[in-house]
Amino acid sequence: MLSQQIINALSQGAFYALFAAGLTLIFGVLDLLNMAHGAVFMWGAMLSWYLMSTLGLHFGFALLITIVFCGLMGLLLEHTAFRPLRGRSTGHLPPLVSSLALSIVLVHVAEKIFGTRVVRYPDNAVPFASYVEMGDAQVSMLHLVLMVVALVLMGALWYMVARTRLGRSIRALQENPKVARLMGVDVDRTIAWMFVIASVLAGIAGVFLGVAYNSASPYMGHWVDLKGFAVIILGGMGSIPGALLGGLLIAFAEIGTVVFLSSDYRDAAVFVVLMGMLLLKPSGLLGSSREVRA
Amino acid sequence: MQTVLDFFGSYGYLIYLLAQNAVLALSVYITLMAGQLSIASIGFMAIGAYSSALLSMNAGLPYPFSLAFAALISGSVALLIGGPILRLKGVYLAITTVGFGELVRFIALNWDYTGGAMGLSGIPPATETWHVFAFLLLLIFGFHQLRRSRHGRALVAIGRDEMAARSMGIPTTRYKIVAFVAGAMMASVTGSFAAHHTNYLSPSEFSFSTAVLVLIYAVFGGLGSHWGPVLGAIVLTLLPEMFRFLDDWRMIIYGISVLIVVIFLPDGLLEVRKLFRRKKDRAAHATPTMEGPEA
Repeated sequence: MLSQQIINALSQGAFYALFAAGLTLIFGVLDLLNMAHGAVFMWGAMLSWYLMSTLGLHFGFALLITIVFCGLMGLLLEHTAFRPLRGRSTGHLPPLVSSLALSIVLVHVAEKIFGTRVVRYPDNAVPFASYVEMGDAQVSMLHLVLMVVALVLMGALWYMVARTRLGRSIRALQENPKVARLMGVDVDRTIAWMFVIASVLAGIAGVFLGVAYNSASPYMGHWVDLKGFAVIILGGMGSIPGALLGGLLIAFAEIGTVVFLSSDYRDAAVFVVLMGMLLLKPSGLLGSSREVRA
Repeated sequence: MQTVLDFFGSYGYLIYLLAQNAVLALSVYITLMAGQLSIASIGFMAIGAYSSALLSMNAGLPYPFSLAFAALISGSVALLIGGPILRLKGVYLAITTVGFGELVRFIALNWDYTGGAMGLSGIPPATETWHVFAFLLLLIFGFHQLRRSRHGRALVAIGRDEMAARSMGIPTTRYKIVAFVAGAMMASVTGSFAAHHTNYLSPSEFSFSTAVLVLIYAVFGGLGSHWGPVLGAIVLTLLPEMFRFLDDWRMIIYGISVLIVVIFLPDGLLEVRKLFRRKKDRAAHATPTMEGPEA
């Protein structure tokens, strides 16, 4: 029973990390909180459901189309909610509100297209719908796949930031946007790519979470947003390994509360951990120790 | 007279909401004045609502006292948590206050005393719509006075540049905490009003999405003066009603409107007024001059 819970926590944590990776990338480099990240995640889940159930597409095709679509959505997000505000000296508030406004639009457009109810994926379309025996635990193959996908993607993201040309531009931008521009970094293009990458990750997280728990609804983005914020603060804003660590920590805190206390306290565990972290070490476990306090 | 009564009959609650949301927007505005991005208003509104309801139901406290006592409770909580959390800045503070709101909602949801998920019903009715409007007018007057006072200028100075304010000898921490406590108490009073107006409370009324809406009201209206949040709350409360004929398109229009205002009017809806004034100015000084410093 306990090993079952540990595996649940691992796959849940990997999912949180995958969702939070995009948030932490954008916050760490641009100092912006993207409030529409959860809405893109929701679109990933709902669109893949639509493609698989209504159009009867194979899971692989649905995933591919969803990835392209969410990437474009990231582009839209950057162009409408963030780019027009760039260069203003008004701080955190306007981009936070503009992305909130856009997330309201995205949620209600989804409501209009997909309906307001919680939907289930068609049985025959879901891949890896088997169980594996692991000791005394019965593990859903899907949850294992979710875990592996999350780890691989986080690894790829880390590699991209650390080793590629785009990653170098991103790191230059984080260091100092002005100097980066002088050194020939195309700032607008780099930022647009970051939003595309973050949104693709959110979309993939949406597809896999929807399939793994066999449910999706236009409102599924809200609670994930909250968890995502908790993850990036715990792990340290901007740190990709930190997101992984934060995701796992929150998943284990949740599952631990469910096992040892009661499932009623599950959501409180997250915020107690979060508040404790903020008061003790606001820069997070693996965050760079830049100024977070006044 | 009959038409007035009819109008009030069908739009009474909407009119009530206008004042309530304006007060909530002001409660966010006072912390924003000091540069602190706090989204805790809904949490304090919940504390005010539940405290006042429980005090009048279980302790038999008369309405004005339960309301005042609830405000004191919210103020004390704000004072207690204000010290540690106001050390955080920007987005970190915002996320912490969101966490605080969720924690309050969580307690309301899981505590038997607050009725759990079923909520509280049978709260004695006492709030008239004019109470909320009177409170709003009082606050507007208060903000008007504050703006011209030393304290108001100190808050704005902290909002512009906290370091500079501190080096000018302004006790920044004290001001930030006082602003936070004041905002908490305003929100608490709207909560108490709401509890004794609808006579029913449930934890779902105090969710994260409601909390961020209040922030949107303030920014949408503009943070240049206290009229901005009031205007923002009124317009955004009316907007969905006015677009009722658009049915499920109206929230999409709502979001797009907010987006357009944030992008094209950096100082909020209040800026429209400035545009008119600038045109008049230009007409008055017909001679071509260099670009003014305000742009």
